[in-house]
Amino acid sequence: MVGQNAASRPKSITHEELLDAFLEHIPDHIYFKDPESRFVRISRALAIHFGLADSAEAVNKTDFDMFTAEHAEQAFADEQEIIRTGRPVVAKEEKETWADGRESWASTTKIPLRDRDGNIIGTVGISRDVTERRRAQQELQEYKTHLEELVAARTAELTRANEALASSNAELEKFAYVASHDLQEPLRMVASYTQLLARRYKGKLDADADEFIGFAVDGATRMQQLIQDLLSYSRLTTQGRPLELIGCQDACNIAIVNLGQSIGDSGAIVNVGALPEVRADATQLAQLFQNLIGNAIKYRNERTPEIQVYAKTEGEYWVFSVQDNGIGIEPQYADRIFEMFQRLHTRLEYSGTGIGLAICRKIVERHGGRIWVESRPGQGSTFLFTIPRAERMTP
Amino acid sequence: MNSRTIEILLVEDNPGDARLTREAFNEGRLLNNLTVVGDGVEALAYLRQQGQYAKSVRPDLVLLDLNLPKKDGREVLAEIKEDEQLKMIPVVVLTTSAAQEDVARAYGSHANCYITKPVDLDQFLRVAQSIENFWLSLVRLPS
Repeated sequence: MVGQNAASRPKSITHEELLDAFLEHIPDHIYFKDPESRFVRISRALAIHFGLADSAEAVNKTDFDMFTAEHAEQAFADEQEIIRTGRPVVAKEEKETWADGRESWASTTKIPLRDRDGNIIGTVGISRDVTERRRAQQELQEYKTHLEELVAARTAELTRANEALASSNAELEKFAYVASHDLQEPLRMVASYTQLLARRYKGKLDADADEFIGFAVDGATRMQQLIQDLLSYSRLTTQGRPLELIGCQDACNIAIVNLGQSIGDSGAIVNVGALPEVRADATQLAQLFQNLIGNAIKYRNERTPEIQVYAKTEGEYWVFSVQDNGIGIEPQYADRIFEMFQRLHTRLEYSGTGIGLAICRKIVERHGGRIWVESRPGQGSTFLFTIPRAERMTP
Repeated sequence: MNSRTIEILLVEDNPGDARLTREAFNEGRLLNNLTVVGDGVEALAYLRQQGQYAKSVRPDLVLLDLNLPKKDGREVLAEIKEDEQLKMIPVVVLTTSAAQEDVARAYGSHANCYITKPVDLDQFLRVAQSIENFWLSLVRLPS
């Protein structure tokens, strides 16, 4: 048993054999050089890289035989520096330009070669071809740079577009405000004097005159209302106040108080559920409730108006609903009613300029929400709007 | 209680507005004499009885528009209220401006009251009526 153990031990390998095997098979480029940077030995992989049939052919040759003078000089200088100082060069990435013009990249480590006494007797270098990796890296870098350029260009474009849009919006709002404000003055004259005509001369001229004056008064009055509405619409942004944490209950109560007359006249019943606190412009929120509840009363049918105001959470939002039992809205008009000056009824059926819901939409959008309607004609309508939830400041 | 003709000075550059105000006061109960001047310089000349206004009658009430040529209503108001002779005359600012800063500045210059002209004729007539009822009938003014 003991004898068998001894027989299975591998036969000893000499250092020479080890080195030969190593230099024969390692895929890296290994080279030993004498103090004058002449090759002493090179690995087989390097010989193939050099295009030599046998690694022995490299002996006594130098880099000047293999590469351009420029590259060979740099390698020579590096090696002489190592011999002089004893300091190695580690993982230096260098471009190799071959005598035939090819270019490759290598990651090179060179160290001083010492004898047993520590005297420097040359250099040993290990290089690995990293051309592929370099190329891939470079390509990646190019893509990255290109992508960054694209992103930067697109961002600049978007920023410009945004700025243009913001300034054109601001211009438009300013225009609407100035136009409606300055239009008021001459219109006040037209309206006042047609009204004065009606007041002084109604019934004193003839039937035609009365009718003409009537149309003039009606037109002027409606135009005044339109301008007033346009003015209040543009004021929503020009004179909107910063959003603060406020109670919707208060805003809704203000709306109901303001609607006292029409609630009283119509006998409407308004039920208000628990309403949350949100970040809002209190005046605008009250106006929102007032317009929606006001509409619910206005567009009633023969039934006594019953109006429910509720709020529930849905994700990041509060969803408010104002539900009525009125005439309802045909589904095809569900979007149109939020446009400015869009009306579904003649002025004889229901008065108004068609600004109320446009104002509602603008208020809701200014608060970061959206507004829509769900309705069944003859059954009633439910107007819903969202406002982002605000964290309660008080525990 | 006042049987003599009430003297009113209207400072208003828009003839349409001036006429409307005249019509409104004509519908009132009190006998009044409404004089219209079209800018701030004229207004002060009238009140100080200068130049062509040497024989003008000191008004019982001034109705003052704010936006006027030459010297605007804000300056006229300040000058009236800094003038020992004139500051006791009640000045009613009657303007289209609803701007908060105009309101604040007018009262800061001791305007006696500030009214934004209503857009609607009926309301405008009511305003004239109210001015007459309050400033020309109800309150006691220095004689």
